Amino acid sequence: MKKDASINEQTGSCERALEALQREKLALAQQVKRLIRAEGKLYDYQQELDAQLKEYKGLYELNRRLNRTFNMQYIFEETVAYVIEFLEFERAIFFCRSESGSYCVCALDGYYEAAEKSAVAQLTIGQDDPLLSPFTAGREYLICTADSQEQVLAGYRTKLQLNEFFVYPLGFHSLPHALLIAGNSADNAGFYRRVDAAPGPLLSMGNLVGLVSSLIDNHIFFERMTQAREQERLAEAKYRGIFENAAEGIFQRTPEGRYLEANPSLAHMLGYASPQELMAEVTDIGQQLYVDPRYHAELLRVLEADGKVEGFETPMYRKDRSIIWVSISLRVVRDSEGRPLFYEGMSEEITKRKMAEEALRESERKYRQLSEALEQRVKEAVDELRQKDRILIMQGRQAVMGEMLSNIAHQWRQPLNMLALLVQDLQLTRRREGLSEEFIDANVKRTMEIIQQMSKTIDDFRYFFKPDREKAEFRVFEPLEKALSLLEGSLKLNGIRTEIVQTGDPVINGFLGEFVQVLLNILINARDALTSRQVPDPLIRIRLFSAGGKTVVSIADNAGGIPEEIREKIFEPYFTTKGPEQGTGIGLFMCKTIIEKSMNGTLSVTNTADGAEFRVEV
Amino acid sequence: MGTSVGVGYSLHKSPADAGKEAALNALQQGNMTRPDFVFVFATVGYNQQVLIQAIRDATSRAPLSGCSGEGIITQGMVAETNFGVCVMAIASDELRFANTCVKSLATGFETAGERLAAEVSPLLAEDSIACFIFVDGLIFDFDPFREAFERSLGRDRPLPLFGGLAADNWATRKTYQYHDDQVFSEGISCVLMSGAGAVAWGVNHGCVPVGSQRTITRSKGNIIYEIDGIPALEALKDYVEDGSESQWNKVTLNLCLGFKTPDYLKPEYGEFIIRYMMDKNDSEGYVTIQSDVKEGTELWIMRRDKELIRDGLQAISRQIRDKMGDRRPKFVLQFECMGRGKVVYREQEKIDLLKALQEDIGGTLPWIGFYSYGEIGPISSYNCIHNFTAVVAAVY
Repeated sequence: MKKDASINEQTGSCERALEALQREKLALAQQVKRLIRAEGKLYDYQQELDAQLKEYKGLYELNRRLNRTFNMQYIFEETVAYVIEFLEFERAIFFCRSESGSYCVCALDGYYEAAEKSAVAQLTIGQDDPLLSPFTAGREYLICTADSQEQVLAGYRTKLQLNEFFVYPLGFHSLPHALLIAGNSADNAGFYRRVDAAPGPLLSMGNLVGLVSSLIDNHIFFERMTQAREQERLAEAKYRGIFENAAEGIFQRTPEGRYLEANPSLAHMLGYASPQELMAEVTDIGQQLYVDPRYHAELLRVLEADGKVEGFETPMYRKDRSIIWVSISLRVVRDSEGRPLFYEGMSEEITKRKMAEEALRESERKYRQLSEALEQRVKEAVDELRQKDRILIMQGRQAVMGEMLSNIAHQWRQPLNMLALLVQDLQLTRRREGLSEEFIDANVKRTMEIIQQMSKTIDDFRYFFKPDREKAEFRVFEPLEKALSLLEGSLKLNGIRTEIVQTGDPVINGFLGEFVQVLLNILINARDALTSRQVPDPLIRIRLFSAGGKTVVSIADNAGGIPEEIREKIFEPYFTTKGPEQGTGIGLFMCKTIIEKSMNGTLSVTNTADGAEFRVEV
Repeated sequence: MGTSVGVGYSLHKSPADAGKEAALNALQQGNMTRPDFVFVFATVGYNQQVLIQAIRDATSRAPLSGCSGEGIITQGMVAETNFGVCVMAIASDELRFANTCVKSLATGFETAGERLAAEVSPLLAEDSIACFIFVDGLIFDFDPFREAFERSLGRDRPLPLFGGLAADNWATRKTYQYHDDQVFSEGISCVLMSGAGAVAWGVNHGCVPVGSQRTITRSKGNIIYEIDGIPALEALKDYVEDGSESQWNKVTLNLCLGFKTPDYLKPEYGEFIIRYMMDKNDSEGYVTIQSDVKEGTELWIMRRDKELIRDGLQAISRQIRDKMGDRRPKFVLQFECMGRGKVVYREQEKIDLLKALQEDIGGTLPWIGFYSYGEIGPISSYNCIHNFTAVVAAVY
């Protein structure tokens, strides 16, 4: 029994141990499973760590390289190379803002076919491109994933030759200085790091962009600083050069009258050997340099009132007490509280200009005198010409008057004969049969009629030659009729017919006497031409009408016309075709002068089919 | 003349530039202008056709074989990126290289073995040394292929097979095999090496079992449907971090399957043969491995052990040195499981391990390799496929 009990006890103990071992085995199995799982995780982390270490090491090396350079292009190229080698995107493009504001490709890396690379290298992004808008609104990056439908980004897939990509701004101010784009083409994306919004790629890109952006900002700042310093240096050199070499005197002076700064030109202008000598010796500008201290006082008054003076002209003493004229421009330089610190300005010697101005004034005076004398001479010459014209006209008138007197004489010859016959008839009749009342009355009546006709001839003559004082309106037909009446005798004598065609009853506003003189001249010329050329059926045709608001008198003959070679000369003074015994050469000149100068009309001549036509338009 | 070998590599992103750069570097290092043969391993980011064409152009259109990998390996350099290519150019009057290929693996692995044997058979010679094969690692089942290949060749002793299963970047789901100008998938690129030479090699994994023995209760070919009477995926789920089931490549790298090594392999290979689960089916709960497995087979869940891996590499170098004696390799090919790369080791650790191995075997040797989805190398005189191993073949 004891043995059995012992066996049972041992068996129980073994079973318990076995159960414990089974539990332990199960526990160990679970631990192993956990271990396997943990090991898997460990290897995953290890890979991530390796990838990160590689990336950070690359970033560290990149930072070292970039910090040693001032070459922006090198930064761009190294950055895209880093993206390809360490971030393992297929392609990286760096756009840099150009002076025009658009973004041009300045570096690209990764695997492209030659045609793709060439196309991408030519890309530009305009400064107003909607791609940039999110950055001005503060976005840190843009992402276009393989399944992105966002319109602007998707629109760039073809241009960039990228199906999925990041866009990061770098060197941000109002607009980014550059854009870094990294991504993959559709065909090859599976072999590269994918573009997605996972922490890994964003962290990698963020680290790189942070570094490069900061470098670019530093470089831009450095470049601007360098440029500013250079500009400052150039400006200093430039203004120092201007100050030292300016032809004008440049200076700074105290309100009290001492020079603080003066350039060599000012010293030279005032007769001092150097600016230093000028500044040392002149301690009271107003008293020492101004010829008239009142000018100086006035200068300061204007300066006080306006804060500046421009072109203030004053005589000044040079060191040797000779006097020069100076033009001064001056302004007040004040401190931050508005108190005057000093005056600064420029002086220009204008002595020569002043002398020139004086010479000019003298010259102007002389010119004025000459001008006045010349004007007088011209006036006299004009008067003389006018007098000559008047004389010519008078000569012409006298010539016509002579002609008229000849006509009157001719016209009077018959009535005088008649009167003689009537007187003789009176004497004969008394002797023969005695004078009856009726005979005497008839004789007297007839005598009176003849005398009245003769008187009318005289009246007509007087009508033509009464002097014109003022312009007056007259019917054209009236002076024409009287002119023809005056010439009637000589015209009949030469068998010349006249023909008048009148349309309406045109009038002229002008000088009647002078107009008649014109008509007589033209008619007499026509008569003479007809007579001298012995035209078979001499005719003078006169037309009166209105045309174009003017009154026209056309006088045409059938004497064969005026030879073309002299047609333009017939209105010149002293030109005649009649010979010295018959013509004076002033008739038509006088006519043209009367019509065109006195009556503002025109007188012209043309040849018709059988003669000449003079046309008066007033 | 003997044998001149040069290796070059490039990490350039442009396939044309990378291919040219790697090839020219290889020619320069080998001090040759026209190689007799070229090995090429590259990663999948490149336009493969452009890459191979660039290499062909630069190497005077010498016969070329190779495949894509998850990464590339050369002397003192490993690159597990999508853009890496390495080229080994060989000019030799001691060794001869005859290359061939088989496509359309999916028509049947046994058939593929027979077809490849038919291609290789006329190339075989008395002095044939070994065959290097580079096979699509996404679909391959080694056992029916090997059996048919060896049977079809009908040799007394199997022709030693070395090589690796072509890989991608775990995401592309497409691997590439290279044969002269051709780039193809679902195929085998094969090189028969003959002549005055020999291969010293080593194979080692670095995995240990975790947990107790399991049993495959339902399987067909290279598909495991059930473990211990439950769907295979269900049996593994406790080892998988919640939420990571969808990242199958990571799961299978952290977790592999171990099978008892047959007794005839045990002395050289150790207790377990490791298998990588190259695929799964969520709805049916099964996993796929790269060799056939029978129901009732004992199974252990395995994990990688960094110390064992390190020790294993030392064992490899010892094996090779022992076999070579005082002779020096003409060149070395390394087929390294992608599960032993960056997914386990830090970058520097990985390089240090490689350098230590290279130093052990012979200093600055022409060395080329790739990270694979499976490694092929004989154990004893038996051709085997391995997972989570390094197969290092030194040609001397």
